[in-house]
Amino acid sequence: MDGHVDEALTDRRLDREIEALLVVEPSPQFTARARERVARVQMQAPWHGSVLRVGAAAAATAVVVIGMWRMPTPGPRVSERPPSAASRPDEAVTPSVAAHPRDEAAPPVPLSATPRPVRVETQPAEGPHAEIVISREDAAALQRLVDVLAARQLEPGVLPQLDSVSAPLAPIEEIVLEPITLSPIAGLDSE
Amino acid sequence: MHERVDHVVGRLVTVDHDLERDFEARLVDSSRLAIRVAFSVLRQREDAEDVAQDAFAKAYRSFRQLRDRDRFRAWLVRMTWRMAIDRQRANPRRVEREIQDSAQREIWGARGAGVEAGLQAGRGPSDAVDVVVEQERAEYLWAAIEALPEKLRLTIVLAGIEGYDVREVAALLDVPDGTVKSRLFLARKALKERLSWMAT
Repeated sequence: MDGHVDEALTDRRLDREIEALLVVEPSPQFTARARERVARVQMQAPWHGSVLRVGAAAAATAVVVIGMWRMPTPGPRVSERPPSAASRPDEAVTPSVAAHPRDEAAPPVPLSATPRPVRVETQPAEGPHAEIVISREDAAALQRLVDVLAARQLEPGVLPQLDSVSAPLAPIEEIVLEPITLSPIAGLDSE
Repeated sequence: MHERVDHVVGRLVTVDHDLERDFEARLVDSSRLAIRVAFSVLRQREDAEDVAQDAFAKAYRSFRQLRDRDRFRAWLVRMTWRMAIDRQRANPRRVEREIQDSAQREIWGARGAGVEAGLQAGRGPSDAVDVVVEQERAEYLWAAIEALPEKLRLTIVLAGIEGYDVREVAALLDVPDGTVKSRLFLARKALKERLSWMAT
């Protein structure tokens, strides 16, 4: 701002005038007040974290409930099978083709009336529930870690370095099965 | 296992302290920039400081997620600008009234002080008139800047803060140097057209 109204309005002069307009220095209390507001944000963080924790817990519970609900029971299970067919195991395997030729007295059945095929579901040998038992101290430590994660106090670069503090896993011992011998039942020979 | 988790938690606490220190350094370093950006919109020192403090609090909330910490100043500038614009839009009448009151105080204050100082220094009343003219020129310049489109306005303001050059303004706005040059050209052209009567 030169105060000379007759001077041409050059870029340089314009910039000088704008610069003069924006010369504002922070007041002495500015930094202290800014710190105060930042501290207020820090105080709000636990509330924020607890909301996240509740959300995470609810999501985890929902996943477990849905998982248990959809998980079938172990062992073979016959579904959609009429009660009368339960005594004829051969029909269970080939229902619509194997059953009809034997039933000579029955009239021919139209294709639309053919009973629905029976589906046999088999499950893997091992049980669906795998449980791990850990000590109370480990559980408490895990809980703390989950809290830290939920409060978003975790730097992304920290987790991969956990490998360096992980203990080596114990070797798995070989499982040896004893041979199974079948001996005939004594009472059956007399029949 | 809990020892290992405690070890990790201990390291996280250390990381947190580092984060606090880092943020504190940036707060001190960028205070003037934030206030001036807010002031360029609100033209009120108290409001500008208030908005700048809010911007720092907001920045702190997301500071952890800021991957490239060197981008902090650019991030802060954009945030402060947006918050200042929002405040101005939220209560335009109050802001306008305060600006007018402040301008009147400055003009009348300058008139009085200029006349008094000029007379005490043994100078003529023309010096006092110069001061008054200067204040009124500033008012017209403010009005011309506010009439600019937002992108041009922010660019010319940043170029005027602390004498930033084209490259520094481009870094703050996260745009190419050429974009800043063209925006500065358009902004200066518009300001000159608007203020041309003052140069005669």
